[in-house]
Amino acid sequence: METLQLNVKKRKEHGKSDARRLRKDGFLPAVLYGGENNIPLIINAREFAKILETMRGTNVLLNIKFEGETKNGCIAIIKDLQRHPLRKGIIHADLMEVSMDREIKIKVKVTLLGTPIGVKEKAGVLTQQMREIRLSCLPTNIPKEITIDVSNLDVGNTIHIRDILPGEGVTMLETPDATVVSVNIPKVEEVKEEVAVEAAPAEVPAEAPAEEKAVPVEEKKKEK
Amino acid sequence: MLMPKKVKYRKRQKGRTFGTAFRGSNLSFGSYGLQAIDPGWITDKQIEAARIAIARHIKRGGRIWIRIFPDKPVTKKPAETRMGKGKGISEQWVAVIKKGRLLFEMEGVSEDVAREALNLASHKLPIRTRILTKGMI
Repeated sequence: METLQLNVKKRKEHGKSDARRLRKDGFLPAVLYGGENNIPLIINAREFAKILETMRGTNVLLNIKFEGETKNGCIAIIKDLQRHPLRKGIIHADLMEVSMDREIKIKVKVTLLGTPIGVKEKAGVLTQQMREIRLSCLPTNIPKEITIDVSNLDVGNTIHIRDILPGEGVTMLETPDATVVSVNIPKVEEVKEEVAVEAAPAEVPAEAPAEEKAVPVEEKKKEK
Repeated sequence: MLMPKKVKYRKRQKGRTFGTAFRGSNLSFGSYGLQAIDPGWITDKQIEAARIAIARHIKRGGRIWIRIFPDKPVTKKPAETRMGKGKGISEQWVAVIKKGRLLFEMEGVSEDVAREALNLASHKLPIRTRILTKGMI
């Protein structure tokens, strides 16, 4: 398991306006929890972006160093990242302190290998229900990703959680019956209804005048 | 067309749309999505037109999720009516969209097909949109 160093500063200012000012100055508001207390932090945004680039979506351990403090740092993982919906930049980070001898709950990315037979030969649709799987393991045993070979999947076949073999010291926290990947028969869009609707107006004008003519004849008889 | 089964009040005030949608702004189901970058109202007919555009393009295969629902009634007075005499009858349903909101999601097709389908759908909508993919940050 890779460990990267992250320098942080304790944050005294709280709230919306201070967080905005920090972001403007090139810093990132963050919080560290899991220890004795929750500690609001300031992280250098550029340094943090570099770490994320190195990680490429995988879990890494961060060696947290408090700037200007003699107190020893701690080991933490990135628990959550908040991103701006439009600009996609990170606006806040949650770091969780971990103990190296205690199991932690973590989400690990699922990677699919190969193209299923059902998609290649029978025009099925591969649907991935789970992109991340919740695991419980020691920080040193966190797998980089969970790789699933889907090349043998036919139409109607499914891979469940119980079909996946986790590594040593890793426990799956999902229910065994939960579906991870399936190949289904595609639904076909029905176009028949619309054809009928389009054809209907063409028939109406042809019949309508006949009815109109018929009505006056009867009326004339009644008048007589 | 999409519309609520029942509503507590038949008519609603117009309102204003401010800010960015933080909820419903991430890809939650599929690998590709259409995200609004402008605020606005999207009617039930426009949602249906966009859905049909996507479904026709992908033909067989793929799954579509509609992430918005038109739950706001919009009223209109009949033509050539004098002002007054109360609010008009509700004529259509709209979804109020904040910028950043995901409108559609897709799964089970190649990226080229998904992009083309979502591009066709975006032409049916009254607001500017962009395409998101799962790996994109």
